[in-house]
Amino acid sequence: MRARGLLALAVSAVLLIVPWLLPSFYVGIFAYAGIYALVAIGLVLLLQAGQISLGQGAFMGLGAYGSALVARAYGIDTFVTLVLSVSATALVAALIGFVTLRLRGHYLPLATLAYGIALVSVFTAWHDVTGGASGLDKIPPLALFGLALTDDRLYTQLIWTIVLLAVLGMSRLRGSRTGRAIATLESHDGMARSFGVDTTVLRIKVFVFSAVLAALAGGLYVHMLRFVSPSPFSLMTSFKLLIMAVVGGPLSAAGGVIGALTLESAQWALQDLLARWGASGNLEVIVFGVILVVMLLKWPQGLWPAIERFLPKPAGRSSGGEGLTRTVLQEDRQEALLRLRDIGIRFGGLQALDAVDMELRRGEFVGLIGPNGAGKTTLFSIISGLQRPTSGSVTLSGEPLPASHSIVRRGMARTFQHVQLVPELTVIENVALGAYWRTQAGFLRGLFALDNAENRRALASARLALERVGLGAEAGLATANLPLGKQRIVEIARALVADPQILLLDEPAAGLRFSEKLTLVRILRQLQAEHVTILLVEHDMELVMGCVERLVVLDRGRIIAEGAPQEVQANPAVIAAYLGGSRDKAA
Amino acid sequence: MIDTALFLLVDGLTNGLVYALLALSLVLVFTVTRVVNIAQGEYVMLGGLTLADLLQGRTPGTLYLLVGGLALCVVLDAGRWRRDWRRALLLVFGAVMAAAFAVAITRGALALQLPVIGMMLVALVLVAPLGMLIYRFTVHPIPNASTIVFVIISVGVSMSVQGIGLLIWGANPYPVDPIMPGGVMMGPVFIPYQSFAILITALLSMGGLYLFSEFTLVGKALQASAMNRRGAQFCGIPVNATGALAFLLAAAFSAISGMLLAPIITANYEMGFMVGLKGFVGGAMGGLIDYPLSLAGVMIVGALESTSAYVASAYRDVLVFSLLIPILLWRSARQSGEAR
Amino acid sequence: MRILSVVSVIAALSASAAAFAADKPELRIGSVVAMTGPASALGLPEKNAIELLQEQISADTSLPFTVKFITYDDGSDPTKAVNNVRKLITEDRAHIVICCTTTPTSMAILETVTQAKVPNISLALGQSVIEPAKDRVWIFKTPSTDQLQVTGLVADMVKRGIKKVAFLGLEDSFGEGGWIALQSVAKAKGVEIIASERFSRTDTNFTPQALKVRQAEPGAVYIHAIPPSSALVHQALKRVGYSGPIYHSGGSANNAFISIGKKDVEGALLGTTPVLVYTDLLGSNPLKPVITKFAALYEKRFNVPKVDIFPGQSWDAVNIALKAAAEAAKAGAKFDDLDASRAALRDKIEGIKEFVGVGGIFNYTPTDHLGLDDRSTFISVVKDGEFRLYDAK
Repeated sequence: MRARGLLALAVSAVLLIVPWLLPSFYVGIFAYAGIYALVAIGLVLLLQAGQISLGQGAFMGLGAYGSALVARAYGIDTFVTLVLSVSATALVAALIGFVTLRLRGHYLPLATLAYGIALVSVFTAWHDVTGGASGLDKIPPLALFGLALTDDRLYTQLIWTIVLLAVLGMSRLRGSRTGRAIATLESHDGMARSFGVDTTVLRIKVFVFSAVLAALAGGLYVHMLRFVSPSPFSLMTSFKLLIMAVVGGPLSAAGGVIGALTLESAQWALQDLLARWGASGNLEVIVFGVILVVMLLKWPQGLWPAIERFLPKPAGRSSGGEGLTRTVLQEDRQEALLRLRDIGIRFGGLQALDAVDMELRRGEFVGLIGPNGAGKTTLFSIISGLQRPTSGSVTLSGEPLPASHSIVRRGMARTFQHVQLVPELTVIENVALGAYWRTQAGFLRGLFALDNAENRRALASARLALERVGLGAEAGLATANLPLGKQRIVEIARALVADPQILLLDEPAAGLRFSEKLTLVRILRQLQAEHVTILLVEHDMELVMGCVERLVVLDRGRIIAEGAPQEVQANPAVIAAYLGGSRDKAA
Repeated sequence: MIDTALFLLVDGLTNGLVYALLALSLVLVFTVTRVVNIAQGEYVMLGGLTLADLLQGRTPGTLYLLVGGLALCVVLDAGRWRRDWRRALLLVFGAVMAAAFAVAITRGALALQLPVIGMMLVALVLVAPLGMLIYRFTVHPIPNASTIVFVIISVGVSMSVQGIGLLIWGANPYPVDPIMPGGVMMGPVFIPYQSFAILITALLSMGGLYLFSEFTLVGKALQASAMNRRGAQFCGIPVNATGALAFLLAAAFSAISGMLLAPIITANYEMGFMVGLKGFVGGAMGGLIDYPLSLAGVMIVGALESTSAYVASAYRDVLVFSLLIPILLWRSARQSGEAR
Repeated sequence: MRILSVVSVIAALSASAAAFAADKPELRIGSVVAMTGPASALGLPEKNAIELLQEQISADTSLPFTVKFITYDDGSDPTKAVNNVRKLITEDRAHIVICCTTTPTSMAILETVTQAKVPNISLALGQSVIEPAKDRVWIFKTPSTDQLQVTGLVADMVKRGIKKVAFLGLEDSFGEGGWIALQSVAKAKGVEIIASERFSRTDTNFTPQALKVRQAEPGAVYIHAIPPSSALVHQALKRVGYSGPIYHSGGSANNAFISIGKKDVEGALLGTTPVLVYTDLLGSNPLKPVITKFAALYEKRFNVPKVDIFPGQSWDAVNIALKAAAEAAKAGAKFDDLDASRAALRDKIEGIKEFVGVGGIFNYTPTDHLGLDDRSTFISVVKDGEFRLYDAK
C-alpha cells in the first residue's frame, strides 16, 4: 500500500483507540468533535461545489428531532428511527434544493440562512410536539434490537468510525467521475454542461448528501445527550460549522475533520487556561474570535493545505490499460451534419447576429473568421447550445439541438476561448471530464468505490488522448503549472475524449508559441484524416489558411463571404472588413 | 380589518427603516471591498452604548478600545517601515495625535455636558475609526482572499467585538435619551419623533450614497476597486485607502443607526446581531449592490415582520424567513436576466 | 472594572490559600452559569454573587473546611453545560454542582449528575427540573418556580373579578416557563386565557403583538419577560390603548424595568421574590435582615443601585451547600471520600428546614426539592418610580 494510505490507516487507528485512552471528560469532547466533523465533511463538499450553506444546523436539528420524537413517543428502536429521520431529511433537502439551488451569488447563502432560521423557529414554536424552547428529556439511547449503546467510549468509537468512513468515501468520490464533475460546479458550469454534466441535478445531489450527513450527526448527537432542544441547532451552530470547514480547509474532507478537532480543542483549552487565571466566560469568546481571525489571516486556504505539504503525495487513480471504445468515423460530404438556418440573436438593442445561414458537412474542416466583435463566439455559444438564438434554428444530424448538457451525446464537443480547465484537478483528471457522458458511475458508486473498472478505462482514454496530443508526460501535473499553450492543447485532448463527430474549436491558437502552433496543426490534420468534422474559429490567418478547406467570414453579425481560402482572401469585402490590409500576422 | 392592516403596514414600514442604515453600510462595504461584513451590526451596538455612557457622564469604554487599536496599528505597521524611519515616525505621530484628539474630545464633551446631538457626534468620532482599524487588521493583509474567508473572518470579529461589549458594559440594558422625546399619533399608530429622525437620516444617507457612487469620481473609484482591484491600482486608485474609507463610512452609518435606535429599544451588548441580520436580508434583496433596492428591501422585511407578528407571533420568524425565499428567487431571476 | 475584579479574586484566593493550613479538609463547589449567550443577563449576576460569596468565605475562618470554587461558562448551550458539569465531576472532583441558569441546560445535565450521584442545585425556574420527585433525587433548586409566582398573581386577578387574561411572553425557555405556569394556574382558578403572543429579547418592535392583545379585550395582561423587552411591551400596550392591569413576572423585578419604562410602567404588578421589596417587609419578618445584609454587600461590591432576583438565587444555592457541608462535617463526613461525602451532602440538603435565604424560606423534603411556600412570594407594585410591596406581610 502506498505511503499516504498507510499514514491514513495509522491515523485512523489512533483516532479509534483514543476514546479508550482519554479520561472520561475528554471522551465527551472528542465525541462532540466527531459529530461536528461529520457535518463539516458534508459542508466541505458543498463548498467545493461553490455553495455556501448557513443552514446545516437546521438539518442536524431535523435529524435529531425526527429520530428523538418518534423514538420517545412510539418506543420504536432508535436505529430504525434514525434511518427514517435521515431519509426524511434527505427528502426535505431534495425539495429545498430543488427550489433554492437555482439562486446565484449570495442569494443562495441568504436562502440557506432563511430556512435555517425558519426550521429552528418551528422547533421552538411547536411546543406541543417538540417540547419548545425548554426541550424534551427521556430521549432513548441508540439501540439495535434491544441492545442499548450507553457506554460513552463505545459511542464515541461509533461516531468516529462513521466519520472515518465518510472521509474515506469522500476521498474515493474525489477521484471518481462524479467527483471530477463536482469540481466544475463552482465556476465552470457552462463547460461542465458542454461535456454532459447535468449541473442542476448534481448540485441537488451534493446538497442532499450534505444534509444526510448533517441529519445523521444530529441523530447521533441526540441519542448520546438523551436530551433535545432547539438551541444546539441554531444559526450560531451553522456559523460554527462553516468556521470549522473553512479553517480546516474547504478543499478536502480531512479539512473538515481537522477544523472540527482544532476548534473544539481550542475552545476547551482556552476555557481551561482562562479559568486557571480566574477570568470570566466572555473573555473566552473574545480570545476565541481573535484566534480565529489570526488563523485565517495566516492560513487563508485553511489548515489542511499547510499540513498536506508535509505529507507524502497521494497516488492518483490508475489509468493503465485500454480506454473506452472509440467510434470509427466515416466521411460523407453529402450529409449536412450541422445546419444553421437564419440564426439571429438580439441583446437589448443590439442585433449581434443576423440571418446567419451555415452548413457543416460530415468530414469537412471549416474555418470561421472575422474581425473582433463580429459575433464569432456568440455564434459558437449558440451552436454548442449554451445560448438560445432569438430567431432561427440549429439542427444537428437533422434534429433540433437538445438541452445544453445533452449535446455532447450527439457527438459535438468543444474548446473554449478562455481556457476552462479546473485548477483543483490534475491534467489527466481534467481531460477525463470529456468521458463523462460515456460513463455511468454515479454519486453512490463513486462514494463506495464500486466504479474501479469504469474509472480506469476513462482515465486510460484520457491518458491516450494526452499522448496523442503530445502531452503524455504532463498527465499527473497540477493544471495551474502548465503554460497557456499547453493548457489549450489539454482542452483539445479533453474534447477528443468525448469521442466527437464534430469538434468546435474556439481560438485554440491564441497565445501559443510557434512550436506549439505547429503541434496544433499536426493534431488538426490528424483529426481531419480521421474524418472528424471540425469548425475552427481563429485569428491566426496563416494557420487558418493552411488548414481549412472552406472559410466563412462573419462581420457585424452577418456572413459576408464564404468559399475556399484563396478566394476569400482576395474578396474585397473581406479585405475592407479587416480594415483594408492583410492582418495575417496580427493575433 | 382595514384599519388593522393599515396600522400594520405603517408600523412595519417605520420599523423596517431601523435596519436601513445597516443595509446601506453593508452595501457600501460590499461594493467597495467585496467583503460581506457579518460584523457590521457590532458598530450599531458600539454606537448605542457609547452614546449611553456619554449621556450618563461616563467615559465610554470605546475610548480605550480606540486607543488600544491605534497602538496595535502602530506596532504592526511601524515594524514594516524600519528602514524608512521618517515614515514610521509620522505614523506614530499620527496615531498619538489621533488618540489625543479622541481623549480630548471625550473629556471636553463630558465636561461641557453636551446635548444629545453633540454627544452623538462625539460617539461617532470614537466609533467610526474602529471600522478603519478593523479593515487594517483583517482585510488589508489578505486582500485577495475568497469571499468565504472574509465571511468567516468577519464572524470572528463579530464574536470578539460582542464579547468586548459584554466585558465593558455587561449584559444590562442602558436607556438612552431620544433627540426629541414624545411622538405623534398618526391615526391609531403612535410614531415617536425618534422614528422621524431615523427616516430622515435613512433617506438622506441613501440618497447621498447613491448620488456619490453613481455621479462622483471618487464614488466611481470606490466601485472600481471592488470590481477589479488590479485594474484599479493600475489606474492609480489607492485601493487600500478606498477600502479603509468604505469601512470607516460604513461604521459611521451603523453607529448612527445604533444611536438612533437606542432610545427606542435601549442599548445593550446584543443589539447588533439581529439588526445586522435584518439589515443584511434587506440589503441582499438588492444584491448588496443597489442602494434604493436595499431601502425597499428593509421596508419589505419590516412589513413582513409586523404582519407575521400580528398574525401568529410564535411563528413569526418562520413566516418571515419562509416568505423571504420566493422574494429571493424573484430577485435572483431578475438579476441574472439583467446580467445577460 | 473587570480587571479589578479578576485581580481581587486572584488576591482573595491566594490570601485564603495562604491563610489556611493544609490540615483543613477542602470542599469543592463547582458552578456552571450562562456568562455568555442569550441567558447572560441572568447568568452574569449569578456569577457575581458566587464571586462575592467566595470573597466573603475566604475571609471567614470559622468554617471547619476550606472552600474551593470552580466556575465555568456554558454559553446558554446544553452541550457545553453537560461537558462542563462532567468536567466538574470527573476532573475537578467537585462535591456539589450548582448548575444551570436556564431550564433546558438544567434538564440536559440531569442524567449526568444522577448517574454520577452528585448533588446538584439548579438555578432554573422550570418546575420540570425537580419533578417528578422520584426521578430527581439528586436535584434541588433555589429559584421560586414560575408556578409559585403566577399563583399569587392569578389569585389577585380573581380577587379583582377578572375572568379573562392575555399572555405576552418571551419565546425562549424563560417565557415558555411562564406560559406553562399560567396555563395550569389559570385553569385551576377558573380564569380563561384569551390571547397568547410571543416576542423575542432582541426585537425592535412590539406593537403588532400588543395590538392583537388589546383587540382581544382581556381583563388583565400577564407579561413574562425581562427588561428591556418586558418594559417595552408594557409601553406598547399602553400606546395601543390598553388601560387595564398589567402583571409581570419576577424577571421584571429590577431597576432597568423602571428606568426603561419610566411613567408608562406605573402601576405594574410584579410577582417577585422578597429581594425586591425587602425594605417594605415588617421588621419581624426573618427575611428582612438576611436580605438587607446581602443587598448591601452586593450593591456596594458591584456598584449597582439595586440588586435584582438573579444573584440571590446563586447566593442561596451556595449558602445552602455550605450549610449542608457544615452539618455533614459535624456528622463526621470525610470530604476526601468523594462518593460518601457527595451522598452525605445530598442527604443534608434534603434535611434543611426553615433556612432563611434571600429568595425565601427553604424547607426541603424528599418530595419537595424546591422548599418554598407562599411566605416567599410577594406581589410588588411600581409606585412613583419605585418598587413597593403590594400586600403587607
